[in-house]
Amino acid sequence: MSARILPRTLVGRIVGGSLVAAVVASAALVVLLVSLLGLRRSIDEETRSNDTVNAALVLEGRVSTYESALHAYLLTTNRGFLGSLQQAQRELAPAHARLAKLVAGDAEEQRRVAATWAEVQSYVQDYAVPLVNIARLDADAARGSVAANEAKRRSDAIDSGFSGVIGLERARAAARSDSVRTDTTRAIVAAVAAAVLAVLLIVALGRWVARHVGGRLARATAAASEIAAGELTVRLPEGGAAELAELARAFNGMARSLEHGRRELLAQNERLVASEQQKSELITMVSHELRTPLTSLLGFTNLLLARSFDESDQRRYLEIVHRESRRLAAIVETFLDLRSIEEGRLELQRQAFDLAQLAREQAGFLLAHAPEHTLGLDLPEHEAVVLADRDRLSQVVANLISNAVKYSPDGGSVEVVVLVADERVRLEVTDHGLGIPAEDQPRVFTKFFRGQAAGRGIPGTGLGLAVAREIMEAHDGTIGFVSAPGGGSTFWIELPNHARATGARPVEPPREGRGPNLRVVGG
Amino acid sequence: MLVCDDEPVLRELIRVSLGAGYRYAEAGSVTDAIASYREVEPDLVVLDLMLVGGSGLDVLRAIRRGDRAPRTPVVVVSAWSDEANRQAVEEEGADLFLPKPFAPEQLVDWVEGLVGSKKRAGDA
Repeated sequence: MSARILPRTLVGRIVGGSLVAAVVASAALVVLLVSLLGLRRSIDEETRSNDTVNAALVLEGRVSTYESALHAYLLTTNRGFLGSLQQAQRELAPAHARLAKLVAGDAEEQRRVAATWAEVQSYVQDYAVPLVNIARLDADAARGSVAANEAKRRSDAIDSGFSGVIGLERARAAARSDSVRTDTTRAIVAAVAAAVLAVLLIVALGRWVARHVGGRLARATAAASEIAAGELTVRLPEGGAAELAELARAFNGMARSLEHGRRELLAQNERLVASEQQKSELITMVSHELRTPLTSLLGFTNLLLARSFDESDQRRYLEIVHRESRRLAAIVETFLDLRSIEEGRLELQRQAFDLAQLAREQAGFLLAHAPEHTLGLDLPEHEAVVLADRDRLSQVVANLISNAVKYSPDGGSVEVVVLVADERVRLEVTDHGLGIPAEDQPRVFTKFFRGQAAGRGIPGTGLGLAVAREIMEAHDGTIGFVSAPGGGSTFWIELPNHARATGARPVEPPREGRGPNLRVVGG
Repeated sequence: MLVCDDEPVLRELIRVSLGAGYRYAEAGSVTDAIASYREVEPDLVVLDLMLVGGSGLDVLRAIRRGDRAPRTPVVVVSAWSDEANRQAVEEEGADLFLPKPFAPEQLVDWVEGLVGSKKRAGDA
């Protein structure tokens, strides 16, 4: 329940901010309006106060006129003054009515006016009228000190009543004037504060737009320039208002995609360079590997055609030509093999046969051409039957044995061992030659990798072990080696023991003279 | 003649090409080549660049280090016939560079020319 107070979108925030500023500005106007209305009401009140005071003074004047007329009649008993007295009495009631109407909304003032009016009426009814009647009978009696004292008392009471009415009204007016002043000051302060607040809000909104919109647009522009300049790792912060966050996300997506594309291109370029390098190595290697047998072929055929040799020499040279042609064919075969394997077209003609017999054949054949090496054969008593493509296995075993010969250039023994365990048949070829330096060991099965061979003048394509591994993997077999740099290597292959799995007999011609642990020494 | 090549069959080709008019020593490795050179003091060396245990250039350097006048002619025969190799061979002091595969008559011509000039230089 984390309610967001701020709207998410940029438009929402700008509209919201403007609304708040407008509301605050309107509030300032309303406060001003209210205080203007207050002022107008106080002016009305003041007018009414003045009218009330005037009305009170008018009534007081009429009362004075009535008193004066009464005095004049009492002194003179001239009947003419009786008319004035009656006239003054008639004018009292309308003046009172006007005053009473003006104080109708003010209870306290109403009470005072009523009390004063009661005094006036009492003066007229209870004092003046009887006194006039007395004066008609006995003028001196009416002019007596008792009457004069009574007149003074009543007159003072009436004066005091009017003073109270007028004083209260003036006090009210003064109080209202104070409150109006306070209200006006308060209204001005509130209006100014609201106006200042509105201005601050508008400025803040402007600043926010400048910072969050302008600033981020500037940042986006800079980032776009960086990308144009090739710096593709640049990213924009994705927070903030929805539209800006969306812009940043779209921008970052574009940058990521560009970066990814460039990485792909670079990787592809690297692969192309590596592939070019491999191709160039291949061409160099092929041209060298082909040239050696070609030199023999061209050289000997040239000599045979140009010169005459005796029959045994002729035969010998033709044998060389034949052998070197086969060597060329074998090189071509290796390449075709590798291509088939790489294209996944290696077809295996599986049959059950004795791996020990195959080892004996290949070792015998290869060591026959290695006069500086001796062969140690250690074969099992019983057949080591595997289900495999015999030609391909011959190729693998021949490769391991010829490597053993090639990589022990100073001669020595090459040992070929076949072991039969319960589940597996294993063939090992050990030499006591150069061994493989530790740093070269991980690349032994890599295509075209020849390690120290090139530097030591050891011929080869760098493909033999790569092909051997592919063949063993196609047979669900394994191939591996252990090597002591300077102390020789043992390469081994393993295949499932077919005799164990099926009890099948190998399809092979019967052999003779095969004793237990036959050891053939020498080539 | 000292014939150095890691391939016995090519040593034989060179020997047969040059014919029975010379006596031959053969070597397949760098160490054998240097040892034979010192032992037989040949009139001419035919040298392959790819030898067991190293490069023919090692042999060439060893020959030139211990050379006396008139210097022993050296014909380098190699399948590595690119310009960089030819230049390296020339800098190390080989007399001629014959790329494989080569025509036997070419080798014969060059060897006879070099042996003849050495003989003349020696006689002078």
